[in-house]
Amino acid sequence: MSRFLPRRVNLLTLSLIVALLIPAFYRQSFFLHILVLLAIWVILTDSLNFVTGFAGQLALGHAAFVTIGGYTGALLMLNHGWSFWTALLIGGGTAFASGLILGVLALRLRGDYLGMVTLGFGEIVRVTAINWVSLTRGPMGLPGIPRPTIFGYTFLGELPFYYLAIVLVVFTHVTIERMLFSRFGRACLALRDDEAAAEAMGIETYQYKVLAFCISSGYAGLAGVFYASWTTLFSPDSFQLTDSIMMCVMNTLGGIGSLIGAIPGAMIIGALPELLRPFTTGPNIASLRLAGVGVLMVLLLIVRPQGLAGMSIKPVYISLEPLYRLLKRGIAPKEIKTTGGE
Amino acid sequence: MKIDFLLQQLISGLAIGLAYALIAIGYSMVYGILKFINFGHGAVYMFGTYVAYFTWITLMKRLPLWPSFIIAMLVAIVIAAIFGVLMERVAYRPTRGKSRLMTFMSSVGMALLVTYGMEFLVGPMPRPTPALFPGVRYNVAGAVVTGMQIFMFFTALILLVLLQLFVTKTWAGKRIRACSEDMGAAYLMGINVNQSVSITFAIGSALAVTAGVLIGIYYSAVYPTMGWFAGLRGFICAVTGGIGSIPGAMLGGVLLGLGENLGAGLLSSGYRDAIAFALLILVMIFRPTGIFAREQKSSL
Repeated sequence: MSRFLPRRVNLLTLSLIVALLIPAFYRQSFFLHILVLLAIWVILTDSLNFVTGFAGQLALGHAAFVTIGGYTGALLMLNHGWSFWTALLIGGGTAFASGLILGVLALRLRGDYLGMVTLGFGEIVRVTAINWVSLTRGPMGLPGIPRPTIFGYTFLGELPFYYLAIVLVVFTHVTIERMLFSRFGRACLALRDDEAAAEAMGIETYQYKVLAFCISSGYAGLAGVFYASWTTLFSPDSFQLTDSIMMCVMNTLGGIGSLIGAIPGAMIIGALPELLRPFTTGPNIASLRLAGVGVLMVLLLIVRPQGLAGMSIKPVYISLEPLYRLLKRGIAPKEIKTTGGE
Repeated sequence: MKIDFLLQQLISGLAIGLAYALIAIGYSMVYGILKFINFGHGAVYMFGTYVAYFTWITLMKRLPLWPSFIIAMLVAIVIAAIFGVLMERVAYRPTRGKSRLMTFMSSVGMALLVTYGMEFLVGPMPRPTPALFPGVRYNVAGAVVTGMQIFMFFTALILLVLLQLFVTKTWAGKRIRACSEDMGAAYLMGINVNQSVSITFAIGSALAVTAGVLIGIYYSAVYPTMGWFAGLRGFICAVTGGIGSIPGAMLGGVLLGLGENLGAGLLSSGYRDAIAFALLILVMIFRPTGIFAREQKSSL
């Protein structure tokens, strides 16, 4: 019988199956709400990992692209009645284009300088969103953003959004993985490991960096449109400086340059406020969470700078043999003895 | 009218600009030695300002305004200097020798911890500070100069000149310069590198706190997230003037102060932060070694 069963399963496939099955057992809307939020964080961490982890360029302003994407999508849906799906594409596209503008200008810099400039860009975007009142309604934000509809079915409640979020996570992950193993992805990895050597091999490092930056921004824009439609409200404070840093911490925890690290990284830090909830009350929770994240980041960089998953881009498999053995033992304990003796 | 307006912005810009320069020194000197951007600098600025604020408020019950201010200031400077040195010991030294980016990220973590730890303790609301020069204002050719602006300008100027003398004329200053030129060679020449790094952090933190208290009184507000933007502004000054140079930081500070005030006066005060960052991006793109740098040695 065991001949026909898979001997091992990809960790990602396994987590996807688990994620799809969760609502069958546990579908409180509060719980699902947190899961959708975690899924958004996974997308954002994956997108940041693409530019920081694979192309090696530190970006600390990704919240700006989420904001740009979110506002574009929200305004198209609100003022022009576009459907969610086209707004999703255009929002991602606008974020991609803004990533191109910033990338072309900023990617001549390296390391922490690049980080500071991208951070500055994030602040410029936030300040503009606050002050451009005629377009964005300023700090009040845009309320009443329509929810997605597909074939006459409207996404209401948390469950449909949960499945939509999973679709987006899978889309992000699969496309990033495909790109990573393409010529483009290999070029990115090469320039991350040794820029001079990559240049000597004929890789146009600057162009590849800009492209990686744009693509990463594009994903952030998608997440922004999704967030806008999910919460039906988008304001300049939805994603700001601390969120950019948060993505960075999630990425560091998961493993900068790891293909699967985004999932544990984003889940652990994203769930932190819920874990801290028993220890504090009221509005303090946000500050406690951010302080906790700070401690975590410093400890992580000292104790385990490679993060939980390391820098591996190989798929991780979990062997199913123990499971089968367990099942067999349950069914026929004698067989185990004979095979064990051989 | 137009001249009045310009003069007014010029005065405000000069006063606040020199205070920014005090913050910039911390970035500049640390970058000079350890070659990383100390993102936690803004958090030290905020921490020290709170120490000064609470000490001042407590002392005000017993003592008159000025003595309590000066004692609070000295207490805050000492505590913040120790805090800055400890921060380096705990969070930055263990990551030294690995990638510089690690140290930068570690400083981002420290900034989060200190800023939001403080917010957790004292709450996010801004607290009003007592005024140092209540009602002191002079009319100069139609523009108004407040006593606080004059005090701020001269305190910052004196400290910057003293610092320049310290760095160029004393043995400790010479050791710091040697470390920033070549840390390895300095170590081989028998210079205690760690001690020099600690001195750098102490000086940077002390100056940042002075700036923090001045700016806090100037805007009459102390709040936990004040370090984010003050820190970023200090960094922008340091970069604009050419990182590693004290006169550069001063000029960068004045330029940023003027640019911000003029821009805010002409556009809208809401864009104040955006102007600072636009300056940063422009400088980084066109003159990454700073506007006033003489040689175009790429330090990036």
